[in-house]
This record gives sequence, C-alpha cells and structure tokens, in this order.
Amino acid sequence: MKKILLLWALLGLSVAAYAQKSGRDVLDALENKVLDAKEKPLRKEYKPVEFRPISHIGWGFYLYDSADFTPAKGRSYEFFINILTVGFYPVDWLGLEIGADFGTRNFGSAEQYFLQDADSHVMLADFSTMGLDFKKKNASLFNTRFTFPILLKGRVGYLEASAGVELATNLGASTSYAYTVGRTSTSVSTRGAQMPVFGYSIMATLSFARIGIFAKWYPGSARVLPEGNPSFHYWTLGFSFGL
Amino acid sequence: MKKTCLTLFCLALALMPAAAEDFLKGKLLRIDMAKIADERGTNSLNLSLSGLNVSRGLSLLEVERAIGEAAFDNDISMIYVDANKVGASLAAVEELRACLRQFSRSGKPVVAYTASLDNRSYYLASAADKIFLYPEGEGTLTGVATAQLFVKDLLDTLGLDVQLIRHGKFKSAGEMYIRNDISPENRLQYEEMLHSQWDTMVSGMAEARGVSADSLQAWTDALALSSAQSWLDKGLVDGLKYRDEMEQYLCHLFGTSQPKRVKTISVSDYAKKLRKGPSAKQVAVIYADGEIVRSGSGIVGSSLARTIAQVRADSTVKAVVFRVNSPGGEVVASDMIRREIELLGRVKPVVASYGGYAASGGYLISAGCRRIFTDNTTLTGSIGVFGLVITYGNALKKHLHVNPVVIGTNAHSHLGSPMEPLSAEEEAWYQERIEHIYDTFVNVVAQGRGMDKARVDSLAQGRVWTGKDAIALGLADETGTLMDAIAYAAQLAGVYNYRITAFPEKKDPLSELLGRTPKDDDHLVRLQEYLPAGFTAVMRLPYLTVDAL
Repeated sequence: MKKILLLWALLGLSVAAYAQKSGRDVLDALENKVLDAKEKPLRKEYKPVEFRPISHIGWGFYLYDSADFTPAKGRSYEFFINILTVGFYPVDWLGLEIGADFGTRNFGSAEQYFLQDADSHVMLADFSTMGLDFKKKNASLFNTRFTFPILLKGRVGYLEASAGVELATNLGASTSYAYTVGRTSTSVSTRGAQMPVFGYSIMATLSFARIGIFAKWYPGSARVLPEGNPSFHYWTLGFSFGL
Repeated sequence: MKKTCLTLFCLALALMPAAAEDFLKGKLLRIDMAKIADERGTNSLNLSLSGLNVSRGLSLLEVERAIGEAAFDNDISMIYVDANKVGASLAAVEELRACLRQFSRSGKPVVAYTASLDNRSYYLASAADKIFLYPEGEGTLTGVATAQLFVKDLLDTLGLDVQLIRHGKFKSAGEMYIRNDISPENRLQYEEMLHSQWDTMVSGMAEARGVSADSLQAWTDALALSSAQSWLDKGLVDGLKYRDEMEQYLCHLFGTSQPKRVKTISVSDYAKKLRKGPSAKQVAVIYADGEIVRSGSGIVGSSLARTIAQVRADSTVKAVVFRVNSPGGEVVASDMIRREIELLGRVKPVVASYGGYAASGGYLISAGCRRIFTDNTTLTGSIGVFGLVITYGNALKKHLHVNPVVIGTNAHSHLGSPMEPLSAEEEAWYQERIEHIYDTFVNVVAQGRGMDKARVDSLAQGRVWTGKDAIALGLADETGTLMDAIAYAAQLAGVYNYRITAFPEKKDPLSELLGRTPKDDDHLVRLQEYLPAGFTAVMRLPYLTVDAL
C-alpha cells in the first residue's frame, strides 16, 4: 500500500510539473471557454475612500403644530451644491459619508414668511400688517446656508441607501432676503443675522447610479414675534443627481 | 513513511492542473511599443495653451523592471503589446523579448497586436504567446542591410586632402574618405556582423512560432510574406482581427463582453507604482549612452568621470551596473571614464551591461568590469583607433585661387594647420601616437578580460563583433538583460532588497533650452595641449545605418 501511494504521489508530481501551463495554453483554454450568459451587474471599482460631489435639488413643505398660525403648511424649494463628499468604506457595501454642501432654501408661495431679525430669530410675519402691498404668491424668501450631512450608507451594486443627520449653519453670513417678481412694485429685503445660526435635520436618501431621492426632517423650533412659540417642523423631499 | 507518502500524494493532487481554466481576473498590463524609444526615456518639452510642459518617456530599465514585477503580481493577469510602431533599438527589442518570454513562463499570457509587420516589429511580436494582425495589415521580412557611402572622388574634386592614420585593418571609420569602394576587410566584417544579427532574429522568431529557420529564410528571400493572409497561412500570426474584434477577444479572456469591465493599466503607470526599495542599499546604474566627447553633446568624458567618482564615494551604493550604449569617441575622454571605472571597481562590484553598441571607446571604458552582460545583437569590439586629418589648402588654390602661405619658427610649426597636408615625417609621427594608443587599448582589454595580449590583438584590429560572437571569443561573458545584470551585481554585493538608482541624472530639457550645460573640467583642457590642434585621436565605431531592421 505504501509503495502504491508513493508511486501515485510521484506520478502526480510528474504530471503536475509536465502540465505547468504556458501563456499559450492559458489562451487556448480561455478562447474555447463559453461566457457566462448572466453577467453580474457592472460595479464600480471598490475604493476604501471615495471623493465625489453630488448636487441635489429639493422640494419641501413645512408644518406647524400651533393653531395660531395659518396656513399650517406651505411649500418651499431648496437647491444645494455639494462642495465635497468623502466616503469611508471599510467594506464595499457599508461606509460613512461626510459631505459639505452650500445652497439656498426658498420659502415661497405662502401667506406668511420667515424673516430673520438682528437677534437671529426666525419669525413669521404677515406682510400685510406691515403696510406693504405684497403679492405673496410672487414673492420668495431665500435663506442661504451650509449643510454637512453625516450619513451611514449601505450599497449593493449601484443601489445605495443612507440615513443620518445633516448639520446646518449659515456661519453668520447667510442672507435672508425677499424679493418680488412680476407686477408687484414693492420689494422687501432683510439682512441676515450676524450670529451664526445652527440647526440640524434627520436625513435619508435612496439612489440608483447617479439619480436619487432624499427626505429631510427639521425638528426645529422658532420664537415667533410678536408672541407665541410654536414648534416648527419642516419636511423636505427632493431628488439628487451627481457623480 | 505512511505520512510521507500521504503528504506527497496530497501535494500531487494539489498541483494537478485544474480541470478548467478560469477567466482572467486581474488587470491587463498594456505596453505600447511606440512609447519606448531609447535607453533612458527621452524627456521632451511641449508648448501648449496650458504652458510649457515636460513629458517624460519610459526608460528600458523601467519597462524591464515592470514586466519582471508583473510576472509575480497577482493583480496583473496578462500583458497586451501594441506592436504597431517599434521605435526601440534591436538590442532593446531583444531584451524586451527575453522579458516577455520570462513573463509568459510564469503562466500568464502575452498577446501582441499590430497593423503592420517588419523585421523588428515581428521580432518583438514573436515573443508573444499569440499574435494578431489587422486583416488589411501589411509588411514583410526582408533581412537586414546597411548602406555605406564612399566620397574619395568627391573630395578629390573639391581639392580636399584627407589623411587617415589608423591601427586595425578593420578600423573602417575613415575609409569613406579615402576610398571609392569598400575594402575586403570591411565588407567581410559587415557581412558577418549582419548575418550574426539576422540569424539571432531568425532563430528567435522561428523557435517562438514553431517553424524552421530555413523556412523563414526562404520566405524572406522569396518575399512570400505580403498580405495579412499570407502571414496567417504560414502560421506566423494566430489570427486576423479588426480593432473592435481584438477588443472583444481581450474581453472574452476576462469573461465579459463589456470593455469597461476589463481593467487595464499602462506600463508607465505600473512602473510608477512599483516599490522603490530602501535608500540605504542601492544598486546604481551608470549610463554611458551616446558618443564619447570632450565637450558638447554626448557623453562628456570629464562629466561622467565625475559622476562615477560620486557613486564611488556614496556609501549607500553597494553595487554598480555600467550600462553602455556607445559607439566610442575621443581617446582622452574615454580613458578618463575608464580610469574612474577602474577605481570604482576596487571598492564595489561593477558589472557591465551592453545595449545596442559597446564598441571602440565604448568597449574600452567597460572592458575592466567584473562581468559583461551583452545582447546577441549588440555591436561591440572595434578595438582600434584612427585619426583623420583633412586639409583644404589645395582646395582654396584650385577653386578660389587663394594661395595660403604658412610661416613658422620651427620645422613643424604648421602641424595641425588646415592649409597643408601632413608630410611623410609628420604622418609617421602621428602613426606612432596611434600605435601607442592602440597598444594601450589592447593592454586594457587583456588585463580586463584576463586574456593574452597577442590573442586580444588578433581579435582587435578594429574588428566589430556582435555580442553573440564576442561571448564565443571571450570579449564578453553572457547574454542577459539590464535587469539580469542588476540582479547579478546585487548578488555580488550580497544585497537582496535594494533600490535601483540611475546616474547621471536625466537632463532637464528646460535647462538645456536655457543653455545651461555642464562645465567642462579644466584638467581636460590641459590634456588637450598634448594633442595638436586639428588632430583628434578617436576610438569610434563608424555609425551603422542598418536599414530595414
């Protein structure tokens, strides 16, 4: 038995040595090999650290839980451009993304608008009480800010989903302003507060390849003049596109 | 015993070839032969809208190293060679072939693709496991040739007097000025040299393609290779493919139909990513690339000598490879280099590696190295020296009716003047100088190669040898690439993890443009006084224009 095993082992080693393939052998074998009919989806090359910009534009609506203010909801628009997003992926399918965006949010088409006073208080104001002839539906209020989303992201192929928190600030420099368009002759503008304003929102995204959707919830509150202090909740739904 | 048998049995099972080959998984290493042109990789200046940019070519060393590393890199699955335009010299192609064959022996395939073929591009492509040709591709094998010009009658017509003083019946560099046809010795050496080079190419191509050398020679003589189909019919290529078909073929090797899935990396990008190695242990590659001169462009003897001295003083350099690609040049400049190499060899192992030329002065400077690696197609030897004196006094008289009159204090004050040819006595004096230089040359070779002086003299006489013949004659030691020489030198020094550093530093084209050239050594200027103005002793192989290579 020992002799048989030894002979077999020696024969195997000889065959192995003889059968060491050359480059040409490899080519001959591969040329005749049939391609798998179902190719796996094209995947991006895995990189443990990724840099990419993603711009997004969103549409949102806001809610109040105070009965003192009507309407209880309105529409807004926002547009942000991503300055930089860095993703840290210890594994291909899970990572942490930190971004820096700059953009503007527009509160428009509502009867009442947000203004910031010198003390950086966001307040609702009824322009009609200010003696202004103001075509509300043609007026828009923009609020510029910097946001920093910090999101945990999971991905499979080109499908990506993330959730996390988005920090926001105007860095003391944002300008809230209103303008009128159309036939209205009166315009109002205000200066932004010098104190930086900070805020945050809870954010979630879902995307495929370069197109995605996102949702944000701003659990903020604001002191409203002349009285009252309603809770202020703000939702935004939007879509994103990018690289 | 049982355990031994069982272990061997399991080992055999593990080594048994797999039942089916898996598709390639790593990257495709792409080599574009058009970007590999010379030894050091030329830097060039480009003016564009974005400004003045320096683009850097790839050196032969970088390519050889990249191919060598790729053979053991799991990230590289195969090599793809674009052989459309082969700008490298014949010797460089020979070395690249050796590297590609070595890569293929690691079990990874090499594929070559081209739209046209000639002697050199097919010689290169034949190193691949498979060759594909564009269906409308063209080209043929012709064998190699050289053309020599002889201008004695022209110079006589112009009234120029040329005196060639030489030692070595094969030292043919100045023959073109004093003869109207080739001498029998010169014809013999060229014929043997060309045949040696061509035979090297034919045997390489035939062996790689599994055809007989005689068949290849016959097809060459009959111009039987013309259309792409004829190459395919004779088994010299493996298929005819358009570029899109070639792309699909490569995709198939990687198990996909989508080109985006095939990850490629160029050899230049791959070379940049290679690990450099520790700076405390270096193997220096000192280049002698070009004609050897006292000043100007080329290998300035004093400058290279200074560089060699710096390498000698550098304690981090443990071994040296002297890469020679030179047809020779001026005697004094050559000897300065030789002397520094001799001093270097006393403290560190110095190994020579030859490129396309290592002849005459190029051989003098390297004959003393511990071991000489050469390519079969290298042109070396040419152990001889000549001097050329051209005077035009008679031309002025004959054509311009200008009569020069030379007045001097001594019998030979006019020596070196371009107005009068050398007298018999002066010519004999120069001949004595040439004989002395030749004798010194032979001594250097005899000492460096451990040969009898008479034996060296019989091989010298200015005769040019191919590297293959030089090995047989004892003028070189073995065939090998530059990387082989580096590995050998490192082994001599006992270092196994080292950094390869090239000397001298590559010239910055911007500095050259601004006119910043190395300052010549004053010492060399003093030495020049020993040689009369107008006479220059030269050890140089006549430039061969070997056509159709």
